[in-house]
Amino acid sequence: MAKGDVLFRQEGTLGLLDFPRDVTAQTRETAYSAYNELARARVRTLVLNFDTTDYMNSAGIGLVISLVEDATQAGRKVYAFGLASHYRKLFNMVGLMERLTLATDEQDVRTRVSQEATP
Amino acid sequence: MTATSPEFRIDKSKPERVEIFLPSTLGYEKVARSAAQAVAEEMGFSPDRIEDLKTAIAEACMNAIEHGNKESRGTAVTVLLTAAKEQLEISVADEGLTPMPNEFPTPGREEEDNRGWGMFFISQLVDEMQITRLPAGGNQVRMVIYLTDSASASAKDDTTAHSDKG
Repeated sequence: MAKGDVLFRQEGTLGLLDFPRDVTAQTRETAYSAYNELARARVRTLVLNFDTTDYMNSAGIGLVISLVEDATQAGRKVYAFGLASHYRKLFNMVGLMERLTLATDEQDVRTRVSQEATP
Repeated sequence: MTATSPEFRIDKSKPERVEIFLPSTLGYEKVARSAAQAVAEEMGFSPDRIEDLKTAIAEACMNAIEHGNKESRGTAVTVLLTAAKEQLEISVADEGLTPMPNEFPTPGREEEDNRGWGMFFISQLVDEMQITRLPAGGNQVRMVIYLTDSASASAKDDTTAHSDKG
């Protein structure tokens, strides 16, 4: 009953994962397929877009933890936006908020990334 | 002509029960979430507490489907919501094809695919949680959330008083 796949977009060194409405164990395959495409393209920043997500269970949160661990181990900075307040609370409980940067929206991510790139 | 939905009112003078039987297929936990949301909204819980409740009940149902019933066709998960004046009690029972462990492993990377956070979330999101093995062989997760802090404190005082007597 999970709805939708994880889609990816690449813009230079920025890689975005657009999560679907339901983020569950069934999301893992397409999430990793999308992430691996971005990793092959050598993106330096990974952005997790939860704008359309309204159901994320513990398996889905476990998936996000895995992605964030893999991205940070590869030296990528991770941003997230679109998280509802309840899921921010769950992310905080599992320690994810210390391992990613929360942005208000996609534009906010772009602004922050461009500011970081400016010497 | 406008359609109007019938009034949904919980009679707070006595506990009211809603019982749901779910097939042991992942995804059906969302049916329990929706039912719990409807009851909790009518009882007057805050939106934050309703989100906590929805996650807790979904995780208990997923655990029952995946582990207790091993996603076996022909088994069911029984969800019982009992709405009382100051509290909502939720019971999620499976058929016990896998007994619930006495202790749950620490969630995280050691668990396959970073799984195993479900029971941790439940314990953090509800006011009370008990896991029991039913006489007939199933597992039951019982959870309670209170409408107010004072109702929660009062329940804890009662528990302490009973413990002291014991």
